[in-house]
Order: sequence, then structure tokens, then C-alpha cells
Amino acid sequence: MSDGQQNDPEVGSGAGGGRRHFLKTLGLGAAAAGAVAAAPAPAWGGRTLKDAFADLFRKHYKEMSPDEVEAALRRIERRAEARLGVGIDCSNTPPLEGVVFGYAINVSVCRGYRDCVSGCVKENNLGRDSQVQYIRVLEMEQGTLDLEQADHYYDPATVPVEGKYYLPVQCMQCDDPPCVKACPVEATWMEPDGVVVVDYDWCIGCRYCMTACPYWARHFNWTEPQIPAEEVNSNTHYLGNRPRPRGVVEKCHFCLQRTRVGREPACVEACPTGARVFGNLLDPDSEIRWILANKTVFRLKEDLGTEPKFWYYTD
Amino acid sequence: MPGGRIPGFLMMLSLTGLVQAEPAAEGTVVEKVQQDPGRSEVTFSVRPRRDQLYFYPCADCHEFMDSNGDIRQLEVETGHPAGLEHGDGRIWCLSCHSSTSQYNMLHDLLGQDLDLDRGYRVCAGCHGEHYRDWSHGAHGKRVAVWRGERVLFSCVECHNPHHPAIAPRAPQPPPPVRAGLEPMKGQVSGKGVPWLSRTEGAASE
Repeated sequence: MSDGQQNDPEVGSGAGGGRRHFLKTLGLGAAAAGAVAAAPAPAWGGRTLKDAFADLFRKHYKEMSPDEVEAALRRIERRAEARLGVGIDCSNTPPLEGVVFGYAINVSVCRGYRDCVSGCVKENNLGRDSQVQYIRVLEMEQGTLDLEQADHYYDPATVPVEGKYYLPVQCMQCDDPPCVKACPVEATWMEPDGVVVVDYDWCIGCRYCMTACPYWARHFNWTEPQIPAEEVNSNTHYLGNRPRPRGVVEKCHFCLQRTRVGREPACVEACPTGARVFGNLLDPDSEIRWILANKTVFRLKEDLGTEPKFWYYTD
Repeated sequence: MPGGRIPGFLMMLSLTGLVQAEPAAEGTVVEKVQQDPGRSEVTFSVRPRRDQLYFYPCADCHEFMDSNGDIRQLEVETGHPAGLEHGDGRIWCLSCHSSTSQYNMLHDLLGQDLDLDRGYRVCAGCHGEHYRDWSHGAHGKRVAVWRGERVLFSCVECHNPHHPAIAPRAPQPPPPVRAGLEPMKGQVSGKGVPWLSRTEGAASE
């Protein structure tokens, strides 16, 4: 029925022998404590018992000491090694001083190629067939801005199609983010550089934030992402694209693993038309500030008062 | 019509007085442009592209040929452009390429020779507004980083100057549909909304 279920290793292994077989395997695995390393879903989610307990009794990200953060990063790396078979590098680069990130898209240049989407999927280690994609490109009727009539699933032989224009939508990094207010456990917050982030280990998966978001920018991962080992991006950030547990909410984080060291987000780099502009809103000489000062810009659903840091403009 | 050219030409004049160019270390050209009085000048460099050109230097052949300014279909067998799909017949080779340098250089509307890597100055002669947007980052693409040195892709990275319109191409595959829903292909033409309510669905049938 769904792609998601076919990709789920646990459901897949249970399909032959049924639920009882699956539970039995799990019980055996737990009893043998690591002796059955070849099982598709190893005990403790691929962790040692020590790491599993450390994850269970960890503190909130903001309350962790530097040593505890360091230990959490190493646990993430060890778990990724066990589950994905690849060594990754998980960093915790702090926000830059005097930087608030902003984003602008030139809708008259966007041609609907969806190269940004595939660039994002690769950069952020999203499952190749999962339903989670941080960017959606909407095909819109020219002369309208009716989001309800937008087509997400357009698939013509060539784009752009006559009479249509393309409106890429992703997390708007609102300055007054309703998703943050909705979270009952403070697993999501706005960082000093203006990016709304999620601590995936703190998220309980209640999805209140998804209903609070007016832009459909948050996504619940029903499955562990399935990625070929050679395609895993090993450059990760704790609040960014590190491997996420299943059953939590994730979203666009402006590629923190890249942007906090000065690089462009993956979508900006992947866009072949140059429709995407990224920069520091506090720098009066930045490109984005020139656009805000000199072009006619608009934001989506501005009347909701969420103050998105994400603008659209035309040539 | 000439009426369409005059604003571009005036824009060109207004820009030339304020532009300084200096060669940078790696063959790039650093431009400093002050376009709006009272505002700080814009500094950028442009990724060089001349050495990737297959036929460069042009003088290898053109020093043995007479230049001919007539608009015509060229008889070429090598991949050299045969015609021009740019400017609706108002411009021809010598509008941009400099015959005095055996075509090794370009020239702007004032007749000043420019290196091929500074071709964006030639484009600016007619497309002044796009040049302004490009130099400030509102059009075109910046290389790799959002801070630090601004290196830009030049106009011709995307637009072939001999037919600048970009041909349509195939998009990347559409996103998978959420579990339990079907894409409504063919049911609501052009509106792939898989969660249409029953009443809306009935109305469209």
C-alpha cells in the first residue's frame, strides 16, 4: 500500500513469520545482548546498553554542559556507524555572532526543476523513498496566488509549462514561530541566528507543531531513512542533518552544518537558475538586504503575523 | 527599434564613469561599482570562463579572414555559431565582438575593448537593469559561500549569448504521495490535490 511500510525494516522482517516471529527475534536479541548483531533491527537500536542508558537519562540540549554535548555527539556517531555502516562527523558549531539568516527566492527565475529538492534530500540524509522532503515546489497558475489550488505533484515532460509559475516552499524560519509555542516539551526553539531547530532526541513525536505550522513545513518521519551507504553525507550537525530517530518531527534548518561555517545551503548551491538568495539580515551590505531594500518583495500568509524570514520577489 | 536601445545606452554611459576594474590574483576580475549615489560601492569578482572556450583564441583563424558585418547565415562545420537568436535581427557579431582584435576581445557600446571574461559589461549595455540586479545578487548566482569574497557566475554561464533563452528541460521526480492517499491523476486536471473532499470531487465529475 505505502512506500513507507515497505521500507520499514521491522515491518518487512515481520511480514513472513508474522508479528509473533518478530517479537521472538527481538526477545532473543535482547537476551543475547549483542550476540545477534546481524539482525536487521539490533537491540537498543544499534547502541550499546551503556549508550542507550546515557541517551535515556540525558538532559535537554540547552542544559547540557559542553562535556555532555560532546558525549552526545560521540553517541550519535557510534549509533550511525552501527546502523548505517558509515562513519559520520557530528558537530555542534555554535551560531555566528551578529548573524541572523534570511532567505529570498526570485519567483520569476524559478523554472520548477526541483533540483533544490534533490540537493536537500542528499545533503540532509533524507530517505530516498520516504515521504519526508523539506522543500516542496508548487506549480501555480500564472496571475494567481491560490495555495489551495497549487500542484505539488506536477510531472510534465519538460518545465516550465506555459501559463504556470513555480513557488518553492520550505520552512520560513518565522521570527514568531507558532510551532515553538505549540511544542509541549520545548524540543524545538529558535536559535540566536534565527533558525528554528529541533532536538530530535527530545521530540516526543506528538506533532502539535505540525498542526501549528501554517506552511506545512514540518514533517513527521514514519520510517528510518533508507540511504545507500555510499550516499550518506557524513558532514552533520547536532541540530541539523544528523541521523534522526524514527517517529520525530523534522524540518528545514537552513543547512546549519554548512551555513554556520559560511557555506551556502544545499538548495542554494543546487539551484541552477540562481533563484535562491541566502544571507545575513544584520549585514547592511549583504545581497539579501539589497533585495529587501530595492525589489518588491512579499511573504506567504503575512497576515498571520508569524514574521517569516523568507521573502519572494520578482525580476 | 532604436527607441528600445536608448535607455540601455544611457544606462551604460551612467555606469562607465563609476566603474573601476582591477585584475585579481587568480585571473578573476574584481569590479567595484557604485550605482546608487550615497550608497557604498559593490565589490565582486567573476568566475573566469575564457580558458574553457573551445575556439579561443579566435585570432587563430580570424587573422586570416576579412571581417564582414553583413547579417547572414554563416557556413560553418565546426560548431562555431552559424546564426544569432538574440536581439531580433537588430544585432550581429560585430555588435559585441571586436574586429580590431581579430575577435579575441569584445567591445562595449563606446567601442572600448573588453576581455571575454568581462563580457558582462557588454551585456550591461542593453540589459542594464539585469546588470544592476546581478551585481547586487538579486539575479544570477554566487559561488559557494554566503559571506566573504563575492565570486559571481558570469551571465554566459547560464545564458548562451548566441541564443540566450534557456530551453525547457525535465524536472526531478515528484514527491511520493503520503501513505494511504492516491495522487488524483486525471481526476482533477492540473490540480494534483489528493485530499479533495467528496463534494468537491463530485462537482468536478
